[in-house]
Amino acid sequence: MTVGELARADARGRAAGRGLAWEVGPFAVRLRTKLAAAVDGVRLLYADFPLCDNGTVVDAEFIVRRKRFWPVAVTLRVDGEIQYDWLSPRLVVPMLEWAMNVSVFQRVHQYLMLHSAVVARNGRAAILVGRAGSGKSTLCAGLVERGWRLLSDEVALVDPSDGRLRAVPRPISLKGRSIEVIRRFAPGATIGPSWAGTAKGTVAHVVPPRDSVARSAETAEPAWVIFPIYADGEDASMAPLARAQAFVRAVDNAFNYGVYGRSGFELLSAMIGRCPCFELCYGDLGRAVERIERLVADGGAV
Amino acid sequence: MGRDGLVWRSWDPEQSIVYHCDSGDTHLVNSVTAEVLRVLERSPCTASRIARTIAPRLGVGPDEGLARQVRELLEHLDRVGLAEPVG
Repeated sequence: MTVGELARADARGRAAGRGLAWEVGPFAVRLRTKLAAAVDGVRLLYADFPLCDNGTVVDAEFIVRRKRFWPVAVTLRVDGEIQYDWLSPRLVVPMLEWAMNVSVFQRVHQYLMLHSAVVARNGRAAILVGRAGSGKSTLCAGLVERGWRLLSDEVALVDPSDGRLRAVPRPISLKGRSIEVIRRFAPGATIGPSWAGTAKGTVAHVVPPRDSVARSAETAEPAWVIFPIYADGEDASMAPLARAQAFVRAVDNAFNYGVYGRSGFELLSAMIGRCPCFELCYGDLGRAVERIERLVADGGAV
Repeated sequence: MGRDGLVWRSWDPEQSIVYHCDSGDTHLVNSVTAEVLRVLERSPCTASRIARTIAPRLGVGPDEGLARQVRELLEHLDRVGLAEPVG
């Protein structure tokens, strides 16, 4: 059964009691809250994600509660520790998404993690590496609209046993003007409400395609490493990037490279060595998507 | 100067990536720095001798100017932990 198949009252009841737990790729998470808005938000964004069986050991538990003496504000805890305090109940859904990011980035050291979006076609993945503001999530949403499988919009999970990428196809986070850009580019996409007033401005989330969620267990082979740079007003231009340059930029975007030590160097250099690397400067999403599609069609050459 | 415990990756002749096992640091180095480090991997060496060794590969004469550049480079490598004075 999936999160969305659970009746609203049942979902709220679970969350208010022993918790609403669901699988997200290789992880399991649990939400405990009496805040209906939080549960409703999860039912929308994670509708196609499998519910967990009773007794599943989760990787992270999120507890959202109204503050006892100031009930207009809520506290969000991750595994018992306060992650966000004095939070407006109105913003609990986007804050929950960020709390999930934090809980993944700080603990899942069974994978080498790169700050990047990952999409795949025919089992071969394009890794869009970059921090907030690089345009990777917008580009990711655009490629997903064109049929690419979503593996992640925020973190590449590189399995050290085989160098392949694991999928964690969570909702794609959009900020500011990119929300309207995606609404126009992907009119068929399901986009959740826009949340104004967050620390990152107005945010909204694209619900992951059902097929991407259904194929969460499928890994993908790294095939292209692309460093997007969003530049307002620009068209879209892609240029090859020397692998040594790509490597240092990937390290700069690796959450746990230091934890891995030499094996991280070996793993990341093996990936960079196999993949053509590019820098993509774009202001026009449609042209950027075309550029990547042409790259794939031409066998990886620019 | 001497150094050890380096793991190399080079995808083109102009730049290399070096992992320093002792510190866990990763460095991006150009071809000249790579030549110097390769000499030091074999054994500790003076700046002058390094200059004489790498000059042919760089296509330059082993003059005092090159030796001075090598000395400055060695000081930089010392600061970033890729080399250290010995003896």
